[in-house]
Amino acid sequence: MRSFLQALNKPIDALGARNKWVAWGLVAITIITNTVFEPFLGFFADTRNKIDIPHMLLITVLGIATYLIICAVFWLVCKYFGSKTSYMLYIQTWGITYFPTLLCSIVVAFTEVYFYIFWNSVIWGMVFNILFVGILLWKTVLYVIYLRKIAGLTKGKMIGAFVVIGLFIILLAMANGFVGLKTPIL
Amino acid sequence: MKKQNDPFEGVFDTLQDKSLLTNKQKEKMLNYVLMESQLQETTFWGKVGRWITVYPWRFAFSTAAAQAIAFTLIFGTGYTNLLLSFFGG
Repeated sequence: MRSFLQALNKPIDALGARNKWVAWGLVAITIITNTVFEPFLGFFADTRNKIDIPHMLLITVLGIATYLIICAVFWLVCKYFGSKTSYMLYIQTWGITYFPTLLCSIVVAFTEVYFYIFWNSVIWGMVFNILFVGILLWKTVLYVIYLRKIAGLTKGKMIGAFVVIGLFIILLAMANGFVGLKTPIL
Repeated sequence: MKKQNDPFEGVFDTLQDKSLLTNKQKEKMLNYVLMESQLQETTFWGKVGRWITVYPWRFAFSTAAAQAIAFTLIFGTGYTNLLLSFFGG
């Protein structure tokens, strides 16, 4: 629990501690929220929504694959920019930055299912606006910290890696949306 | 009783107290305090960076709240609906 709170509040220290169980735990909860929680929420909101078990299993596997792919992208791009960090370390640590991703998958599950309640509502609109923009900023801060702390990149090299990996993140987010992962596992 | 506002004041008081610690313990404690004090940012940008990186959600959601209030006041539900349709699944 203490390690999870450290990942939430003091990500620099958490990345320094390199606790792979925190990383993988956060990734697993994020994927399950996307693939299991959201369909069940939809089913309980309206029983006409069917629970498609094979599809749930498929997107769970694709979620895990996305995590491995984004770690490979980090490894290759950062290596190009001079980082000496191993692929295994990216796999063991990138998940530490998944608190905003997890929060996003919970929020998206509710906005997806109860869209009609929140649409055209100033109060709900502002609440979700704060959540979505906040999550985006939070993840960006963690992304920069990660490039500095784990990849060991600074200044121009870090900006270069930030832009190139950012492009891959956009592509992978689109691919995730295409296969049914509404919150990208990134 | 005097209130101690500066944490270092208490540490140095302890270091000066001959009866409490051995010389080795004092040396170890002093090294730790000096090492920690080097990590403390003193420049303006250093402090801003530390404010962002420690509790990053605090920076993220306060900035998000400021923009949400400002843009919703200007554009109304058109703005909130736009973001909801884009991010909301």
